[in-house]
Amino acid sequence: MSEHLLLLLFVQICVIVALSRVIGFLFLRIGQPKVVGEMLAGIMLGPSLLGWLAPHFAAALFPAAGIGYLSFLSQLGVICYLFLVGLELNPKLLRDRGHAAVMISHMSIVAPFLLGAALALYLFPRLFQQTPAMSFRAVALFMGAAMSITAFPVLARILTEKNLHKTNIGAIAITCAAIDDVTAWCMLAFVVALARFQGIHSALMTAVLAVLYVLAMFFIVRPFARRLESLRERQGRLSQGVMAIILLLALASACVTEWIGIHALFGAFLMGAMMPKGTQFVREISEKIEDYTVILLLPIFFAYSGLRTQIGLLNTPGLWLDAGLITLVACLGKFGGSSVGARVCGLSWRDAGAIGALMNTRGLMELVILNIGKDLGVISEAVFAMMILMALITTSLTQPVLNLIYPTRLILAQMARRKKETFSILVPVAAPQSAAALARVAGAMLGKSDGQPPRGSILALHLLRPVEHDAFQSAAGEASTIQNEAIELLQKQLERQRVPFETISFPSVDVPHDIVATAASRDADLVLMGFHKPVFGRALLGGKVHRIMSDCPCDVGVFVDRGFETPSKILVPYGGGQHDRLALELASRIARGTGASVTVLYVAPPSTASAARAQAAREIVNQVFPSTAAVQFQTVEDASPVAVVLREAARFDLVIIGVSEEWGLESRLFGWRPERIARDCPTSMLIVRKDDTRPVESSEGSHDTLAQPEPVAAGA
Amino acid sequence: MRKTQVIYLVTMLMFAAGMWAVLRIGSELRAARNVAGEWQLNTASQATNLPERLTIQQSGRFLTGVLGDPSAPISMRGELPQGSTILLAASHPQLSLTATLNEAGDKFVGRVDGAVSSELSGTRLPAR
Repeated sequence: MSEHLLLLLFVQICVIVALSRVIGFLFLRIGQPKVVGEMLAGIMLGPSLLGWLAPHFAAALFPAAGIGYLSFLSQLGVICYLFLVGLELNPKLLRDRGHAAVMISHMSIVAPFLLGAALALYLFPRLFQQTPAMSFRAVALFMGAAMSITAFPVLARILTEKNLHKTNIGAIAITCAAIDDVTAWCMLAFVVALARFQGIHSALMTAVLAVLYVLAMFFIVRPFARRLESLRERQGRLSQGVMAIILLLALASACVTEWIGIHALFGAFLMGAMMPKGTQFVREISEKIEDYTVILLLPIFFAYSGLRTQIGLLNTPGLWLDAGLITLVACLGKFGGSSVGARVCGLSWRDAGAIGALMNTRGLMELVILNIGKDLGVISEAVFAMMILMALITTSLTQPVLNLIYPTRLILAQMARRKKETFSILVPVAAPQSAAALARVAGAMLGKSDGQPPRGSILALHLLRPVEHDAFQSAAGEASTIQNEAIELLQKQLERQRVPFETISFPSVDVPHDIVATAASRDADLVLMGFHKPVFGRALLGGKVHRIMSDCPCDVGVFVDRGFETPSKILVPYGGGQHDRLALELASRIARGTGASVTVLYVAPPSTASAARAQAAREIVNQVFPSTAAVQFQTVEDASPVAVVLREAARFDLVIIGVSEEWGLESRLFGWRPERIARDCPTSMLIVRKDDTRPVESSEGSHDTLAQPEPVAAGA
Repeated sequence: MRKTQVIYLVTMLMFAAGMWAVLRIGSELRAARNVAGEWQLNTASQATNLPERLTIQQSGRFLTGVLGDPSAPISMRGELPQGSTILLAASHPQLSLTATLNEAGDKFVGRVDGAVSSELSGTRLPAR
């Protein structure tokens, strides 16, 4: 390569990556999958826009002599990508979902396949010419395969964004997409072999070699990959040596399938599929390859595809009608086939429609298959452009159609209607240092000291940053299983406490908003979060915590950990406000779960601490705590309630306090103030805020059956 | 046998039958003749100054062409309305080319009209 061409290649890559990131980001902002923007960016760089607006500049930036290098890089990108897709393909999904998913998946393949092949009857005399590769058989099968593809990564991404991945629809859709993936690549291998057909002897040889190769992958490479995993376990990390072996295996697999005649991509996909699943080993491999593939190589593939796409060829109304017909048939086949399949399996029309809309997304996978078709000479230039448009339209339609069929308000309304029988706590976790303590507090609230199973559940929420790994969403179909240290610590602690929990994980650009939205959609009773110091300002309850406390449609607790273990002595400063009342209720829960003793500290200035008010407070305590609880009620007259609490707190393991004005945690004018009590308290502290819109409970056990309140046994 | 299993079997049978029918019907169809590639033009009249190269890009019946070298191209578009008739036209300068392809598909004869008029013939150049 000459120095000039090398320089040009660098410039090309810079332009491609920059434009891809910008357009992708803009599409993300308007609620579209980023991949649609990246595909469009590629088309913009080609003859359809740049070449049309500035032909000389386009010719200088992408001269014919330099396209070859982009082609190699894009092929490498797609090989890495297909390896990643195979890596994320979990056979457990296929085994677990049973016949319904297989039925829907097969319907979602055969309907578009048949319609695509039938469409070839009309298109073949019109848009194809007599070349050796463009036999009707090859064209019909290719059109069928191209119509029936589903973009597994884009679909997974949409599911997690809409928080549907834990629903029945999400589970079915992701399983169907996984089955579609396997089927589509097998079909493609068949179509490629057919297009390269050079007599019966060569076809037979291809078939035999392909079967032998798949068997070799199962019985030789798969066990070897497990050994590599063991090696990684022993070393404690993924070494460069092991990584090099894996990359070599992926490339070698691609070489072999290319040599056999069923395309290099099938080999890369198969190698990924052979790797062990759901382990740290695979996650590390994925992380190492993903960034370079998604940021650098895939945009080059999009640009390369865009350079080959000539929308200008559609220069008559008839050709635009053909493009519309292709899109219509693609939607009818995929959407219709999936929906009917789902309906036959007993889903409602709305759920079936949602599955149809999800399965209709084609994204990058369609581009891959179309480029293969173009390279083989099976499709003409105009059909290539029409199919690219179809891929763009169907992928960008998915989100709006899904919103139409399954609007967020409907999901929320269904959640709200759901009968609540147990107390649920939403625990957003981000920092590993607070995860275990949060789990201990949440577990203590749900636990029962008498050995009975806990009546309640915990939703562990882990929000991901969305923009880094989203064109290829790593294992988004099982996004809840995406682990990080904080989540793992939380899970381990909850498992130790035998508390039922569910993990929710999805990308978020606005963490407070999404915590509030999740609390609303899952109808949580309490959001329990760790204390995070805001970036700006000194307020302990400022920043994100302030937003969540202000907006959350349920009670909120902020836990300040100062060496919290299982509590034996709990202090509840009580001033009579609704937030203090919540503090009492939560203290009662923890006392019941751990057997801890509770001291309720009623503090009032000397002039107002009348016996009548103290008696009223005592009655509230009687209502909240069951008769068996070890509760002490203390009354203290002091001009500085905060000083009293700080002085007393040192004798306890945990202080639970409402965000009331008495404790300096809330101001009627300015919200939450610089909180001396939270800052200076020597022991762990749970600061709680009652949701204004929720009724005050008559007793702690509103969600479960508790003994009727009786007067407390002990007094001051 | 459950209802869903019956529906599944019927669907698969319909798919197999449908594919068989499509492939059977399609085997009778003929795609447009292949005229894509580079052609060397020979005009009967030496005075026409018509470029000697014509590059045709083809998507079935639909053609786009570039007359002349890349430095001063004349863009054309057209169709193959019947099996062996090539129709191409340009608007700047106004030109129309009508030609008939021979049996082997490597030569055509016809005429160009518009800004220049002449009989012409074309020979397909080997692919580079």
